[in-house]
Amino acid sequence: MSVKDFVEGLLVVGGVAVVLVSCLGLAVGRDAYDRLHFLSAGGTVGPILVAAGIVLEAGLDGLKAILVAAIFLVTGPVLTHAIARAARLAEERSRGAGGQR
Amino acid sequence: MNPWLVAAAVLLLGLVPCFVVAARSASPDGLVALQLAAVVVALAILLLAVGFDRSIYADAAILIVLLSFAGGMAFVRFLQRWG
Repeated sequence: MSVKDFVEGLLVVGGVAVVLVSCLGLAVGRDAYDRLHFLSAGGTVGPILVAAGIVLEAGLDGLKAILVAAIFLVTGPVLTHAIARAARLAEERSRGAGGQR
Repeated sequence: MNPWLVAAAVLLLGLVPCFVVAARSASPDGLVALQLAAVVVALAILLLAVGFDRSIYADAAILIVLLSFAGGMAFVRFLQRWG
C-alpha cells in the first residue's frame, strides 16, 4: 500500500465520516437552526474531502468531482441562508410579529 | 467489491436519518433533511463512478447538485409565501 493510497483512503473515509456525523446530528437537532448547522458543515467539508480523495485516484472523474465540490461550495451557503431566513420569517409570523416578506 | 463501493454503501446509510427527519418534522426542518440527502446521494454517485470506473456516472452527480439547489430555492420560495 503506497502513501498515495493511504492519503486517498484517509480523505475519503474522512469525508464519508463527516457526512454521516452530519446526518446523525440532523436527527438529534431540536429546531431548524440546529439542523441547518449540520447541513452547512456536511455540505461543504464532506464534498471537499471526498473530491480531494477522488482527484488523487482518477483523472476525468477527478475533474467532475472538483466541479461537484465547487458547486456545493457556491450554492450551499446561499441555500442555508435562504432556509434560515424562511424559518425566521415563519417564526415571526407565528408569533404575530409582522408579515414582512 | 472495491473500497470505493464500500465507501458509497456506508455513505448511503446516512439517508436513514434524513428520511426520518423529513417524514416527521415541520416544514423548514424537512427541507434541511432533503438538502442533506442530496449531498449524501451526490457524493455516493461520485464514489460509485470511481468504483465502477465509469466517469460518465459522475455527470449524474453534477445534475443532482444543480437540481437540488434549484429545487431547494423553489421550496424556500413556497415556505416564505405559505409556510
